[in-house]
Amino acid sequence: MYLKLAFKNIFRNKVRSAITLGAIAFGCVSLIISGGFMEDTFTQMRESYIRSFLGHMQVYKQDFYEKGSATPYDYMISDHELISAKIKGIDGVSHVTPRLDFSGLLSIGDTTISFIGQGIDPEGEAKISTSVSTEDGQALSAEDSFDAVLGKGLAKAVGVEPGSSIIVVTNTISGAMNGLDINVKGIFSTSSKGFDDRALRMPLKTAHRLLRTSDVQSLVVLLDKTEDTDRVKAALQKRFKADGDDLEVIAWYEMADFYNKTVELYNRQFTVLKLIIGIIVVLSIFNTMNMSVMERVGEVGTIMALGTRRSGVVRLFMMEGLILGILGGLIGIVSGYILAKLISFIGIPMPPPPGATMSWTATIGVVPSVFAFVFVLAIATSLFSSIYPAYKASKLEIAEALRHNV
Amino acid sequence: MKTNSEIIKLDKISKDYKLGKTVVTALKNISVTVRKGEFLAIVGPSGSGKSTTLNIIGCLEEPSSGTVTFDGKNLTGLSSNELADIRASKMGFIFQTFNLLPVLNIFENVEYPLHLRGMGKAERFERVTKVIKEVGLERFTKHKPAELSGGQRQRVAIARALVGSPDVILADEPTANLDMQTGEEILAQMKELNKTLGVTFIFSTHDQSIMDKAQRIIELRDGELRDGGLIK
Repeated sequence: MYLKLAFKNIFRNKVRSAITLGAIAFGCVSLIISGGFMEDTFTQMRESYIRSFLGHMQVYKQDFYEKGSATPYDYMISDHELISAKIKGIDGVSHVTPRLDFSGLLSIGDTTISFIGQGIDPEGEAKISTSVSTEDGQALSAEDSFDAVLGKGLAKAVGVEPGSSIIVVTNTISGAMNGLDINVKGIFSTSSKGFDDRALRMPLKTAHRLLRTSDVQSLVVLLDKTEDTDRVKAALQKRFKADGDDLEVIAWYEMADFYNKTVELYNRQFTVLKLIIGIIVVLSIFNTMNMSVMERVGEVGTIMALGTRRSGVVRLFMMEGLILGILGGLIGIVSGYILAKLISFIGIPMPPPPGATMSWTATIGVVPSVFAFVFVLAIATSLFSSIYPAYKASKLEIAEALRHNV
Repeated sequence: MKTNSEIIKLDKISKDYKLGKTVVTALKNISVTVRKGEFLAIVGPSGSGKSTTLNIIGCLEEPSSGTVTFDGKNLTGLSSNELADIRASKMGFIFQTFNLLPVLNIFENVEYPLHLRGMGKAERFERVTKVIKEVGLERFTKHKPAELSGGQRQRVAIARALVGSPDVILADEPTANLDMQTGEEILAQMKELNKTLGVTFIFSTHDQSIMDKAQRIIELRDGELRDGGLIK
């Protein structure tokens, strides 16, 4: 009975109800679009980091990640081919590739500059670093030996281009000096300007020759799905422990400090947005319900005179708020879905984010959790804003209320 | 229905209202007894306390002093839920301004009190259909109150008051918003229902022609019963 009466009461003043539903729906659409935009930004940023240089996880010698920066060559993996085979045996792993990180000096003419070097397996790395783009020249290939590719910023800093010859000097793992003449094969860029400003990549076999070792420092793992990160990490840790391998597994999110801080910053902004929209919805429904109570004082008096309990009056008005919330929420999520798809179809051209070099096209992610949250928020705020008007209606003096004409 | 037994007893009822710092006395030491099946009119000029008396009988407001007994039960100190349940199960109300719910159609308006009693759908349908027929509005069940004339709306209100087979129907100036002819028709219908169903009617009026139809009249002046209240 209350449901039927509540429905009919909502649609008695169609314009006012439409404005209220519009306010709720607008709030929902705003949250869906902003939440979807943020989610898409996070996803693109995350995948860009993963597929530029982090991989989904990296396998190091135990304690390297915490203590290895001072003495990196104390934490080398010698049996990396055997370890790689073990990693590939885990369900969900797509590719594994070795890396040997080092630092050194790069000279051309009178210019000398420090760099961060990576010895990589060109074929394996190509499968993992899909977000690395070759700006000029060519990428490394398996046949290359005394070749290297330079980050865009580093190449610009020393003024080299593909075909240039440079001298690379570094310490071997035993501490002696060693140098090689290297041909610049290409210029690359990633999503990280900081990386591009200092990075030099060469074939692993060349890095081995330069550092006089056959070991690697890390094994970079790419998965089929980012969502599997924790599961695969746990499986790897279990396998290494069972086999007595003195190795540690670091997931991408433990290495992506900039990404983590960006997500935290955005999430705080989103919380403020949610609060603002929540307040708008609350005020809008509060206004509607309050006006509705004031207009219907005589009716409330009548139904109480006929025997409706005060709790029944509360239930009636709360139900009206609930229906407004459900309808507004449904309109909002349907409109939000359509708008999200439309915006994504067109795309939003975005400038490179802080610290990055590449512009990108943003879309609006359709995130089920955001839709669910928005729907629940619409209902919760609607119910919340109905509490006082419902209480006020239930506390009317019947005889006094009956003096108002119905 | 068994008649002549006491259904309502007002014993030394007084009612004061506070208007700021001023206390206005609406009823002074009223004692009235109503018997089952009576067709009782409460008369008096505006402000004499007729509506207040009906409100107190109908558990719509509490007296400042005195006791109200309904069907042998003292209503003093009952909770608002208990009073609501008494109104839903034992009383029917007819208002001067009809007080129909504008969003519900005629059938739904008449059906409303039966919902409060938790009655099943089939029984509700049977009762509502019967009572709407009794007031001659069976052609208007799907109409909204705004689509009916004043007289028709008051008939709907009578049907709504009757549908739950209450012990007593309280009507506050039921003809005040109607023309004379319609008012007489409404009163005749109330009188007929009183006669055929034996339901007790207590109504207020200040219309002499309507008073003449009453079985018994009590008159209020300035919140007091005139000449002990009994006119007829």
